[in-house]
Amino acid sequence: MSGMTPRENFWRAVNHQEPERVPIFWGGTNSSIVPAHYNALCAALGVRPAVRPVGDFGTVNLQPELKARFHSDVELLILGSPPRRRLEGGVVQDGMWGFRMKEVGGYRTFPDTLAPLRRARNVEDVENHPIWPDPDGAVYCADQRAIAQKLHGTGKIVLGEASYAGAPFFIYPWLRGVDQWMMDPYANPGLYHHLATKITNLSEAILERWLSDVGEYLDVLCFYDDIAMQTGPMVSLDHYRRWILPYERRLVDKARTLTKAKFSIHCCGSCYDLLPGFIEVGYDILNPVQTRAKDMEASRLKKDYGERLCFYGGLDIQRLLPFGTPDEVRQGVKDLIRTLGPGGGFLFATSHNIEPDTPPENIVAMFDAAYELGRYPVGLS
Amino acid sequence: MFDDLVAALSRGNREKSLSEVNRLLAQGVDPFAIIEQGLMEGMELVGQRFETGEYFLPELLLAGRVIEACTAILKPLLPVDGTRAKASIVLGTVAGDIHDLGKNIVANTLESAGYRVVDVGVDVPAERFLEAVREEKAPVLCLSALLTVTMVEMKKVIDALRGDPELKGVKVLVGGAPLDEEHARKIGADAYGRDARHALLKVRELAV
Repeated sequence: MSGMTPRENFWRAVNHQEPERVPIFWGGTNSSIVPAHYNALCAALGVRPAVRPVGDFGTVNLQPELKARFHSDVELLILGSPPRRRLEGGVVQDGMWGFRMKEVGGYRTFPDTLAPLRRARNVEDVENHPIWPDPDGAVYCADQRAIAQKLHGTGKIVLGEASYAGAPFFIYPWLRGVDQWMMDPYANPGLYHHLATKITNLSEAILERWLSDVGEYLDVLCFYDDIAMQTGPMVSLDHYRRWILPYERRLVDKARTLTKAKFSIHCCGSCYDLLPGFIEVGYDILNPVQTRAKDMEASRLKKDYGERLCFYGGLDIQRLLPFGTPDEVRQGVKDLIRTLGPGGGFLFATSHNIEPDTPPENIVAMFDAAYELGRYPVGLS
Repeated sequence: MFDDLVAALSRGNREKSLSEVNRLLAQGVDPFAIIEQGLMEGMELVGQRFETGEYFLPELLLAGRVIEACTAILKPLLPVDGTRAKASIVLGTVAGDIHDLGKNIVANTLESAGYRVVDVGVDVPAERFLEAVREEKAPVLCLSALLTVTMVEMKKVIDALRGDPELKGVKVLVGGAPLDEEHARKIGADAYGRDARHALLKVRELAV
């Protein structure tokens, strides 16, 4: 029977024990819906859309009504951020690191051509960048402790979203351009180390303050690290170990001392080959588990890494959810729960934010199936 | 004669590659031969290593950077009448999508093979693609997209192209993460490029 709170359920699942039911992670920043489709979903459900729904990563922070409709077990706590500035041509400048974004086709994008450090040649050019976060700034932590306490009091699973202080290798390419981020270790290693270290140090200082306030209330702390494509990792495991892992490990090691939360790493695409590296950094949970990508079949992940990682995500948004029928979606949910659910270690969510070509009836079918079929025991009997 | 250039390019070494190009030119080697037997061979090797999982994006990008630097020297030396230059290929990322890493790698690869590449950029509306194809008399148009929603845009471009009698016979190659052979056929494309090297093979078939 449903005697467990969502939090108790989660802690069993994340510790690889069978909970009462599979926790539903609808409403984490990358298990939400894109802004371009949000109003259509609200209209289909007869729910009033929130006034300013869009969060830091350009996806929707869902209102309670929408979360309740789909049995969500999570509450989101997002690090505070300084105000953005509107520049010309629809470009928006981030207030924390000074990178630039532009709305294209309903998505927030970060074009390489707008990267402010694109032309930097050396350490001095990096230092001359005018906008860096001030770790002592009150904006990051304002009111956060009281909010965290309140969210914790709901008994739901509290997801700490460290936002732009938990994504050093989002910030690097946004400041410098994705292509340069990949080439710098070889073409300009001095600049690479300087910039990566600077981002890590500042992120660490902000995290330290924030977690001192809210760390005790968090169940999950989310970090970001997009380094894989549909067909495989963008970089070799060797590149990851040398040029990314050491910086991330410092952040994670520091954060560990300030919270008992489990650590989630967001990496889209085919990151199977990078999983040993993620485990080495100290991540406990993988998100968004893009099961259509190469080598990312649920059964393979469960068999090879099911004892060491929890899977947060997995329901295919590239084909099944937009193009399947409600019955096919229901079957997909069933298969996923039967594959990833046994023994715990599975947190149900989509394999990324729901896209605009997704019929609302498929979304309803998906969550209702997850709620209904997620009750343990879930294995094939 | 081209071994050192091929090796330097495949390791992404820009300085060494440039000095090799200059050395070959000083020896009086035909710039077109340097493109075909040096740059193209080098990029072919890089593409093979990417396919077999030995190379990843940084290695492809570094090689692309070398190609750009070398073609900047070699292009002005090619005959202006175009008799030996290969066809123009128009490529870009469709409207609503700004992902360009894959597209840029395809552009570098086609360029290394001696094609004149006209990159119309990202978030490109259908009309701009057609305009470029007309202006360049390009026999092949390459479309890129990363988002499932922008696959719809690809179809719009292809429909617009097919509806223009002046552009009859122009072939379309599509590529990008959410696509596959079947979907490419469904939206009316002539070919699907799995990766840059595969895209080049397909362009070769289409551009005859």
